[in-house]
Amino acid sequence: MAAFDAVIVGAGHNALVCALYLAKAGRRILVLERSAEIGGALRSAELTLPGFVHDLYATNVGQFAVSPAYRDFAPEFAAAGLEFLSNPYPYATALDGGRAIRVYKDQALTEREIAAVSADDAAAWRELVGLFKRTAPQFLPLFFTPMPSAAALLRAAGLLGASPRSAWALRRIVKDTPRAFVDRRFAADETKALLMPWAYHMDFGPDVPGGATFAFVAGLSGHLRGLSVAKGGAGAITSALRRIALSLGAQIRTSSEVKSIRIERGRAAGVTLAGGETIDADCIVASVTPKLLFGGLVADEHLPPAFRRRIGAYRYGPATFVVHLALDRPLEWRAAADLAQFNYVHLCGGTDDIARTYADSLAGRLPERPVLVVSQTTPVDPSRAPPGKHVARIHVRTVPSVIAGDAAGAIDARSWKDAAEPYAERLLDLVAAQAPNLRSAILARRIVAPPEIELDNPNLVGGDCVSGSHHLDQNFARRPLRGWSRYATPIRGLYMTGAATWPGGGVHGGSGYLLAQTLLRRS
Amino acid sequence: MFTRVEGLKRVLDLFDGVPVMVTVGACWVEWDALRPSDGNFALKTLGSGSSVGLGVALALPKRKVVILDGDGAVLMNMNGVATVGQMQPKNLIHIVFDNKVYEASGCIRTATSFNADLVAVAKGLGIKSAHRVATPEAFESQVRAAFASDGPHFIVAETKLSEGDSTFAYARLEETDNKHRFMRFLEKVEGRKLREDAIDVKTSLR
Ligand SMILES: Cc1cc2nc3c(=O)[nH]c(=O)nc-3n(C[C@H](O)[C@H](O)[C@H](O)COP(=O)(O)OP(=O)(O)OC[C@H]3O[C@@H](n4cnc5c(N)ncnc54)[C@H](O)[C@@H]3O)c2cc1C
Repeated sequence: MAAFDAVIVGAGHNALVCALYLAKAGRRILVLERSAEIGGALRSAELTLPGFVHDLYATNVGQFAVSPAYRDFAPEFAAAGLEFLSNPYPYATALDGGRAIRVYKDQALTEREIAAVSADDAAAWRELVGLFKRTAPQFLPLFFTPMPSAAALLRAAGLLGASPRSAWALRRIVKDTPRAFVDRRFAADETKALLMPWAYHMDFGPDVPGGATFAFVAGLSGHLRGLSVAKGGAGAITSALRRIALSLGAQIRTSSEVKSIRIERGRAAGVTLAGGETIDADCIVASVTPKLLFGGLVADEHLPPAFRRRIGAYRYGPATFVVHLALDRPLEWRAAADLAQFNYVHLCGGTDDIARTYADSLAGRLPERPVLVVSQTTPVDPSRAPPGKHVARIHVRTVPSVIAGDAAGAIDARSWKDAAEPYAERLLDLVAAQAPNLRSAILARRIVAPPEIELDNPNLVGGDCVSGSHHLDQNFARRPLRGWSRYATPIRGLYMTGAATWPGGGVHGGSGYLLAQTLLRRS
Repeated sequence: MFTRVEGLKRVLDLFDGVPVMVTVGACWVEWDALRPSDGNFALKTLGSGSSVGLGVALALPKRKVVILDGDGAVLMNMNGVATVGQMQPKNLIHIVFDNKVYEASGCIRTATSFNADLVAVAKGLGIKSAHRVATPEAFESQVRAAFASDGPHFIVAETKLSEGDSTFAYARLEETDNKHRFMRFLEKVEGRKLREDAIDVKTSLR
């Protein structure tokens, strides 16, 4: 008998969620993480100055608060001290000319805000809110349903039965481009600019079909539920996951990189670490991105050629770039004083500007005016900084992984090592145009460019923050590949989990949860 | 010969409240697992142990300060050891695990596997209490003696390669975080503020 029922490769949050369920069912679990820290893209640290806690990657973690894992382990998470915080000011968009448009948790306030630019848009917004409220209880659970599956079909059928009209509207949204989605409903650029960035958080340029889903779901749930952060830092979720996993008897080892998966007679039998150590297990769960798992940890010879070819074509999205800021005082936004309260302030041009940014990112050009997500965390969670001080970050969607040129023609550098600093200056200029006290408020900053992101977590290939494009050909029953969307692989005993598998990127543990259900049902 | 872990396990009880600078690589992983604490400072640059450790020792003269180092690291920055010999910090204990290779980068042999003698080097640089140990028992008694007497002490422990995993610990985004936690640890054990004068908040950290 092998020493472990399951060895889990990588300690991202999906892997840890999976470990929780398996350990609770009495399985002997070992989690192996290559980095010195666990958590992958869900960590926080004092990256700049003492007492200033920055979320390294994911920050808006409200999805986790409504996930099955959080529900199923609620007492354990509470005992671990995990808390989610949100405020009445979820998101806003700052536009050229010092204008802004704000979405509050309060519906009447939001409608009034939109009515100020267009009465028709306010009515259309109300209608969209209605659609979300009517359908969300039915379709949100789809994200925690295996894809494809009878259960998923039943849910979809349930939606259709309850309201054919709503179901039809949803069907259209699933296929729509972000541009079509907003143009169909709204007249004013301001209103459109509220939702477009949410599709762009994933890698949906305005004209990519399928992006409307993200604009709809993230935009509307952000409005109605607010955005949430984890009290004390996103790493609080990771620490809680670790604590629960250990208390259930799972083992976690850091600085332990898995170099290969041992396969015997067509079945996964164990792993080999970078130092040569081998560990046997009855089952291997890999939270390793497909391109590194297959052809990397699993030698080509074990894979059917057609699978190998298809997985080789798995596509990653353009990269992301982050500037973490320690601030001496809140930003003073020109458009409205209360913008300083908003968890997310998006900065973007119109739809065509976003389309240009997308095309530039894909073509290797540094965008002239990318979509910026300025997250202001301290208004929601004051514990992130010393009294009176603040943390914020500029998260850039999107930049090229490899630089071929600069759309603005100003930056000559062709490596991120040399381009990071001047590009960060461009971003600061863009924000300072809206919040003129930015530069004088900065106490310290830390730039994280795409190569550093990938070095820190190889699953974020090229600095793609969501571990692979979520375009329709790689989402739903096609994540990561059609025929392989339910975590199994061509190797018996080897399973995939993580953002590259359904339901994709983000912090919800959906993939870890669904895989654990599958494994527990099987044995 | 023995492993780092075998040696360190025997003296763990001495480390309550003791700041420890740890060299890059597997040594950090092992030590951080043996004694998880904000008092562990991960050195980023190979060889910086003697210099950083000296600074901490001079700043906290009433407290024992330990460096967990490697032969490759010491060879990389011997001038740091010379400065220790010059300043003679009584509270500094420099432990060098001499496995005679650069373990983290493919086990290339270091000069100590040829002719270099680090104990002689330390003595020559003015550190009188410089010793070589080759058994876990000798390691334990030498470390206990160092904690019980004035230094500086320099202990070369002849160790074998760590068993199993010697994975290189990856560059950590959390390095700055480690520094801040380490400073808080020092403030806590010292019961005084060190922060204001230690940090120029206007510096950009990039
Ligand atoms: C800048 C940025 C901002 C983001 N913002 C948000 C946000 O606000 N909200 C949100 O919901 N999501 C956000 N995301 C996305 C979200 O963080 C990720 O989709 C999610 O955390 C991925 O989790 P995962 O379970 O796939 O594992 P990962 O986080 O990818 O972790 C995988 C782990 O496996 C380890 N590993 C890989 N290979 C090996 C190996 N061979 N051996 C051992 N270990 C290995 C890695 O080191 C890593 O620790 C953001 C991402 C980024 C980069």
